[in-house]
Amino acid sequence: MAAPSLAGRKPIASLSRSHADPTTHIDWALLAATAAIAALGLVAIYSARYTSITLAGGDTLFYVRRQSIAMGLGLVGMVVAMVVDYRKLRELAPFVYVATVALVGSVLVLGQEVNGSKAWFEIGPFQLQPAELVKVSLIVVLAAYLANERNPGQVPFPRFVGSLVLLAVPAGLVLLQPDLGSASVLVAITMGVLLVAGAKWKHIALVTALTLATAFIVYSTDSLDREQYERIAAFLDQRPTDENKDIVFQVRNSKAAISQGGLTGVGFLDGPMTNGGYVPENHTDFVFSAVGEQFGLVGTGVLLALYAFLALRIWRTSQMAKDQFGSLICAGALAMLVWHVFENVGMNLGLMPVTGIPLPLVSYGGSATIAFLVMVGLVQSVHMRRYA
Amino acid sequence: MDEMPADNRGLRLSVFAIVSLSLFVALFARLWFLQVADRTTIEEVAAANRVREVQIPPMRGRILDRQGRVLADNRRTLTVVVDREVIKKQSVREPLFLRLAGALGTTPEELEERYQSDLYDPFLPLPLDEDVEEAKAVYLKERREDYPGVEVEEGWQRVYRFAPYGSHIIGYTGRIPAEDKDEYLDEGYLLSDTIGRNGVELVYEADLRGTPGKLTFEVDSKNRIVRVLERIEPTPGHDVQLTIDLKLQQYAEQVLQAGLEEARLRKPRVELEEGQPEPPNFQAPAGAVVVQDPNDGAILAMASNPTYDNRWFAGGLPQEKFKQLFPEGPNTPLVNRATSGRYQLGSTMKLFTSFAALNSGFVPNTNWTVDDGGEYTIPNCAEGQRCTYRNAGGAIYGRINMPTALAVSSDVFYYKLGVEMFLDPRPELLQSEVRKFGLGSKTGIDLPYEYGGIIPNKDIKRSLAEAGAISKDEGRGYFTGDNLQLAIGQGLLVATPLQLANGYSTVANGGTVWQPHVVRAVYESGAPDVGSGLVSLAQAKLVRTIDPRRIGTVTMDPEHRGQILQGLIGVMRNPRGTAYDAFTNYDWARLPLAGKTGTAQDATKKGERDSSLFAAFGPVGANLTPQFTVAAVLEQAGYGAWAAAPVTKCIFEVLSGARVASEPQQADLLDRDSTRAAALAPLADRSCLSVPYEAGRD
Repeated sequence: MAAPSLAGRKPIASLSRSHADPTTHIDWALLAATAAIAALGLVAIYSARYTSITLAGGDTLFYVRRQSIAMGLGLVGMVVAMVVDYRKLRELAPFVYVATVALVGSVLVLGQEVNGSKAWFEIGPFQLQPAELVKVSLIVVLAAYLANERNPGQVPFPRFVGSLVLLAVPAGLVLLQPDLGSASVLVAITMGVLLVAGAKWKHIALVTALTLATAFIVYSTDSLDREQYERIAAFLDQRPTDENKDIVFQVRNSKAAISQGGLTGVGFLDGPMTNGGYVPENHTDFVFSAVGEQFGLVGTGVLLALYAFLALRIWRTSQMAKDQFGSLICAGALAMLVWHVFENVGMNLGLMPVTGIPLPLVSYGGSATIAFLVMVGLVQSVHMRRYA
Repeated sequence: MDEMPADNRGLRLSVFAIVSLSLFVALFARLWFLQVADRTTIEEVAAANRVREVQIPPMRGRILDRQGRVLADNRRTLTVVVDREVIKKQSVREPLFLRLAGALGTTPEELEERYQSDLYDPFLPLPLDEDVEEAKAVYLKERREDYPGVEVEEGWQRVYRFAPYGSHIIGYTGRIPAEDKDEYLDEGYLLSDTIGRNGVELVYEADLRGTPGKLTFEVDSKNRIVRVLERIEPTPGHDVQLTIDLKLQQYAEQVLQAGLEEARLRKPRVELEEGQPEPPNFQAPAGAVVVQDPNDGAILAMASNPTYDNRWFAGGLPQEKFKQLFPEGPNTPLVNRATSGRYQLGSTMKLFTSFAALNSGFVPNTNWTVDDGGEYTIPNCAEGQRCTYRNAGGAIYGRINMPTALAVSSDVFYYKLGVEMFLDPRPELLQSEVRKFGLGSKTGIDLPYEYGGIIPNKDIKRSLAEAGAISKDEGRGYFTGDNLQLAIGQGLLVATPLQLANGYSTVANGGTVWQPHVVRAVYESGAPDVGSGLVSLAQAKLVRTIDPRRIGTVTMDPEHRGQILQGLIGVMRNPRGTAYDAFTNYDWARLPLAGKTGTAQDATKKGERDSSLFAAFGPVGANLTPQFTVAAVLEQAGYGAWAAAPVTKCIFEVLSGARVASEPQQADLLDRDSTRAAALAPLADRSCLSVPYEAGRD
């Protein structure tokens, strides 16, 4: 038989490279969306601080420069996460988890106190916020713990309880700082991973009910840190009191700033609220209001669309992942991204209480930026190795 | 639903996708609603949400005298200000200033000048008129519509009720000086704040300032206050009680002025040679008096002349007026000569030289004698130097011991000590001993701009020569002649009247150098007024007391000290004593004194340039503890016994109760057209100041 068998022929591409070569399967769309969001972030930070720095006679690029350094470090982290086969992380996961949890624990003792919470390590001119790192390590450790390759889609009850313990330790430490926002992110990550891992619906319902009940009891028995309590009180009853007027006005002014942005915005560096200093922290937690005022619904819409696209690419990778471990990493990453965006934009819009978590890759803040870029690297690593 | 499909990843991820999507939709819906459907315009935002904060200045703490007399008080004032945002545009500013100028009684140009000036805080409303009358404020408030952005702010102005007395101690307040701007801003001050600029107002700023309050309010798009969100009341500053007794202070200032006036009527006593012109009268341009409690260093009165009225500094003082009232130069009234005046001590120094000789063991006891033949020749005197020195007035005292040398003020006795101590192998023996009395260094009194004085030595002479104060030749080194001059308080020695008083207090209390202080205690505000300018401190809450602070100790053999006191008593009681005639009518039973005269010569050696010094303490005697030290320095006023001694005597007569000082009266309004820095009420009875012209030496 002269006719060569089709099955025996190798595709041309594989003459030089194996079909499984990870470098041929980079998700460029994921990277492009990440880069676009980060670039918008630098513009937003610059505009938010521009007027107050100019009035003080300072360097208007100060925050942009520092944020760029964080992005550079994050980029290195991302590339490392891409190059390393994520499956190697299965064995490393417990160590990374223990190390980051220990960091979160030690910051309570050794950390720098800022605005009443102990959440930062002072490292030369930079601050490290371990709570941001523990988010990523929790994703990996939960994915490793719940990935059941022999029997995918099954989470026996002991495993379910075990994963709640893995959540409880860092979440408890973060609450002691006190940082309600980061704790809520850890809960969201766990819920996301459990959901995709195949936890029983009744278990998920049970833990959701338990979380809500705990939140209610903690709030109504007044056992929360004063500042955290006021933030929630301000959300529930938006009238200013002596204790919470700062937060109430912050949210009010943030909403007003976004609102007057209208469809197309009032223009770059021309926001009376943003550049008039009426929204405190408008380069960090309230940076979204600066975007909303200056660029209007066009700006906020583009930003939200970019996040949605980023989420879509992570979701897609979770679906395509070669093994359950990879899929769960993506599920955790997806939960972290979506919850960060929803909570942060939500509080800028007065939809959510002010809990102080950053807008991914846009809010000024090095630790969170690095953590998000590493997270993107992990997802990319799963994507690249879906045939390997 | 316990049994699940083997891999339900797809189903689970779909659920996840739906949840995520609905969150994004919720956000976008809310954004659509906020930014498009129910968009608030800039004007509406401004109307609803602009929050402004202003500081409410605290009432400054009061300054009280020892008895509770309110020396520095506050008066409520109203200031018209305008929001800078409103007048940014010239087209708005010009017509507004035009209308305001009429209402405020000024010109549009002056208002524009304020707007352009960098004296005012750019982040705060611009003050247009300070201290306006209530009626004007009401007029402006009622016509808010006509004067957009214009507000009336409440504030405080300092009132010095008993001015001009005590001005040098109390000091004054004013704007933050440009050169200290950053320091004050770091401490939370606003550029528009009033701060202590001199005296106790400056040194006790932290106590007097209080804590500013805060007013948070919403403003509309035209920057008018819509409603007040919060008002945090300021906390008034603490009241500061001085150790000064105003009645004694007033007397000290009056008697110093009278003493200077008396001195100006006299000429130096010189034997005229043929053809020599008569010397001019003494100019007596300035002087200082310190009254101190020698047992804790507290200052009871401190006068400096010429003086000033600190009310000139409340409210603005035009540059021209300032120059007219406070001309620059050596006789400026703003300097507190008691703490910053630079004087030689003359023979008042001999007390310190005596202890230096005794304490260093240089002379064994006070019975050590010198044969005073009227002149002293430096042994082995080098060629080309001045070698022979005479007593003042050419007097000859014969063989005398230390007490007698003090009483008659023998120069020869102390020339010998000065020269021989210089030849002692221990370096700077005289200097190191007199330093122990606090000479040559700041006392650290709680008043600003204190001068530390100079005790000359080799290094100081070199730096003086480098600075051009003495000739290069003189600056070559420190010689026998320099130490001879130092021993009698002449030459390059410089001290302040405060150091003189503090040194004599050290002898009075038996050897403790206390840190002088003018503040006794700090109280919380709210001491109730009990009339005639007094408050009751018994009903006020004490914050802290200023405890006496020991800054040095001089060991004194009680026997030596007793002998030296005999000498100092002899100054006034021994018929040969230098101040015998000045004290002829003094009531010794009431308050027996020990003291010393001094006459400081300036470099010209002209008689009319001699400065008059006297320092004394009492009561002295068996079983008596001295309660008061008084030191007086009257510049270019003649012998110590002529001017400073009678001033001191008058004060001791008041302290003993033999003479009654007049009660301080609250001041009338300051005459702003006056061309004098201060108007002291003249002393009614000057009888204690008269000294026979022929009397006294040194």
